[in-house]
Amino acid sequence: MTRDRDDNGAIAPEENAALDRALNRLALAETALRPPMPDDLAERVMADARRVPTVAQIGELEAPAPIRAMALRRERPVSGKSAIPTSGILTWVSGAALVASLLLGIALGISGSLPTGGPGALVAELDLAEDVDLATAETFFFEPDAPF
Amino acid sequence: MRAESGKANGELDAEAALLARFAAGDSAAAERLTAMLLPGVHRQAWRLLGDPAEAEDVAQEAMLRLWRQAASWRSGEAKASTWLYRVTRNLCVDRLRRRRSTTDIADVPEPMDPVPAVLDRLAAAEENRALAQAIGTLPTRQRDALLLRHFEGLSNPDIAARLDCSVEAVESLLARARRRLAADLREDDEDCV
Repeated sequence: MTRDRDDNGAIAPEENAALDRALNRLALAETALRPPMPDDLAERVMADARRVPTVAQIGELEAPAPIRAMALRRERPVSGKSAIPTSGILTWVSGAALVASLLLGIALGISGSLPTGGPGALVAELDLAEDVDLATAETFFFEPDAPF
Repeated sequence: MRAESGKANGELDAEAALLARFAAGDSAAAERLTAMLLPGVHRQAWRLLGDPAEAEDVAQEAMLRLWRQAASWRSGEAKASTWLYRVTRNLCVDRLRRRRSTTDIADVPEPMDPVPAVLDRLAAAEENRALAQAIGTLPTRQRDALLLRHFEGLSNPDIAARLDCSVEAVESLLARARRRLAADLREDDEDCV
């Protein structure tokens, strides 16, 4: 029986019991009317769940193009080197290193103190930290917004 | 009371932990959440809409919204079941509005307060008619609390979590609902005499 917290206008015990019986009868009638949950509904819900990107995938989708490209490189290495397992933080740190290297490469290239400059310096730097080949680095350098 | 509150917190943590695992790519967590939450969502949608096919669609859509929300779920703020209850209700209200907009009664106000369609069907039986109709006239919060209690069999702390209010508020809602139902049924009996 439901606890009646409010005392004002409390229902008489026999009336309260009758109400409980009527509510129980109604609940049983509702159960009898209710269609069973279809077997394939849970399967459809799980199929939807599989299509939703994980946190890691969302991070890669929203990352700037160079970092996204590096993520793709990790999934599909083309230079024969093993893929580097990298956490999200490391990816962003590597991205920052990439940008710093890029700026340094430009600065040195402009000043003429580094003969190869540009992508060459970038690749040299990246090769130590990330699995990035020349073509990818050149794409970063010349077309930072290019689709990968 | 403390034990019940601890249980509710434990469930909150469990649901949040499962959502976090799902967001990290654990499909077993999605299976567990589906088993825990989908039947209730389906029942709620059917109760409000009274149509099995629409109830399935709403249940699937509500769960999809949960999956999409998982990555940005903030642990400790609300139970997934509480969030789903609101989402399911809103999806049902949208469908009920659409139903009305396809009829010719454009001047009838939109159903801001949807009466569960199942009550109409329950009222079709003579022995249930008075009670089903009386429940249909209850204020929304009282009716929600009553149906969660008697149709879903939830405890007061679980109802409080579902309705996002205190256990004391649930006790008050249930008490007022029962008083009103008793008065309505008494009146109905007097009319029959």
